[in-house]
Amino acid sequence: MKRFSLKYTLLTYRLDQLWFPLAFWAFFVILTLLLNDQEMNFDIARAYIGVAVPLIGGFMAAYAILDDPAIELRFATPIRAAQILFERTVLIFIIQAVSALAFIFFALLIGVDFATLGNTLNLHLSWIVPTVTMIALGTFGAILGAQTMIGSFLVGLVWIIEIIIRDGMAVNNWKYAYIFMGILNPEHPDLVSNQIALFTVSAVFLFLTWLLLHRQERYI
Amino acid sequence: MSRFFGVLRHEFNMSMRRPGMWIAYGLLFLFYSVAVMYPVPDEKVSLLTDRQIWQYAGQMAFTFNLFLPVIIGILSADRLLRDFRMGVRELQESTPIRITEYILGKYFGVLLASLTPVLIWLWLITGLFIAFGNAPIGFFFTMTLAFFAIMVPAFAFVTAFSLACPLIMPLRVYQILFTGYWFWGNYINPEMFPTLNGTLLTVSGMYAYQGFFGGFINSTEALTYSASDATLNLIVLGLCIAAVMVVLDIYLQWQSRRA
Repeated sequence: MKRFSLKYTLLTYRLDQLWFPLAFWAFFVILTLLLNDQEMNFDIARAYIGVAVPLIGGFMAAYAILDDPAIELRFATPIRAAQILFERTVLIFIIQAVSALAFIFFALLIGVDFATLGNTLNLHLSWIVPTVTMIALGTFGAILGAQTMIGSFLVGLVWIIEIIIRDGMAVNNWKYAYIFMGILNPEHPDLVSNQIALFTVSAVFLFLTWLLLHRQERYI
Repeated sequence: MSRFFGVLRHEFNMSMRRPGMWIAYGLLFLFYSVAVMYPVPDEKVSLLTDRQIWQYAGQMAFTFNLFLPVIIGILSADRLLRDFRMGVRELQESTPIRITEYILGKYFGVLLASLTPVLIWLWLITGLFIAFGNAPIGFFFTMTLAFFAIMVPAFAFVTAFSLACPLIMPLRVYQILFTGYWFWGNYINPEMFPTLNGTLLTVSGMYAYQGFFGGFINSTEALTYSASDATLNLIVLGLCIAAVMVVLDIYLQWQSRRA
């Protein structure tokens, strides 16, 4: 139990990782209530859960491990790389998951119909897959480049490219790397393959991050 | 003036040595080079006419503006902040550098470091485009004009905000807001959703593209913006940049007095 560092994680927790997702959530709720348009409510809901939540998760993940003023001390303790990775990324995912679920609950309350996205499983996969992928990308980028900035720009670049050229991403072999297929093209025949491919890529990113985390001298 | 150029030169050299910038530019330059040099198979390639040269130059610069300013906005967000975090600012305050010189030196240093690789790459692909016989030599001139009319204002705008905003909010929060803003404020159809796109605060370069370069090649639709609209857009963006610099100056003076 001495190795368990959740207390440290919570004590050193950057509060903007909590208040910013909450503020963004509140902003989207207010926007939905202000516009008060049944058709637009669905668009806002899917923009939030499937596009905004992954963006926030990705950027937060880029800072999750390396943005720690006591990182040298932390590396001097016998905490395993897997534990650092798990603690930091899971906490970010939980916050994003709570935000997404709370927004879905709010959307259902005001009568938004998510039937276009498929059944309940597909609805939740439509935000879980992009969020996990962006978190994995942000973490991997930051650890690979040993700089939070590299993780940040990778997340920002992938996000903006995939949003702007989303029609182009849905065809050819790019469809397997199309992070927002579940939310923007839920009727696509290769949706399941796309989700499997993205989960695999995320697992590979996290595995490589874990391997790289063993070389602690790179981050000091 | 020498102090201003000293800060500018130092910031330029520091920014140019950032591996992150070169990785980001490398990825995007590769992506854009392939897109420009290898057109889709059914696209008919022929020598551009005089009018098309202007339209194509505008189109290329407008397309490059889709993603390049995002990278610059994210990467330049820590340039001023790091001086505070690393305690360099305290040392600088003990020197005779005035805050205005410091801000302008930082701003133009970061801006020049962001623009220089883009301009060199732009000249390179324009040269290849001409060498492959797709455009006359005049394309080089129009492409350079498009760079200054469409790309430079966008870079200047995002750099100003990226230097100032992270001083009053966490860096990652700014980066998220900025990335979201770039899509929301420039590329969302204003008829579908409330956005800054279509107003004089549009930074994507659409005003200059239509007003100065004639819009999309072979487009039958009437142009939305005239040359005077484009000029007004550039003036508004310039005023926004000046306003950010003035507010930043006031903020740093205030910080300095508090210390």
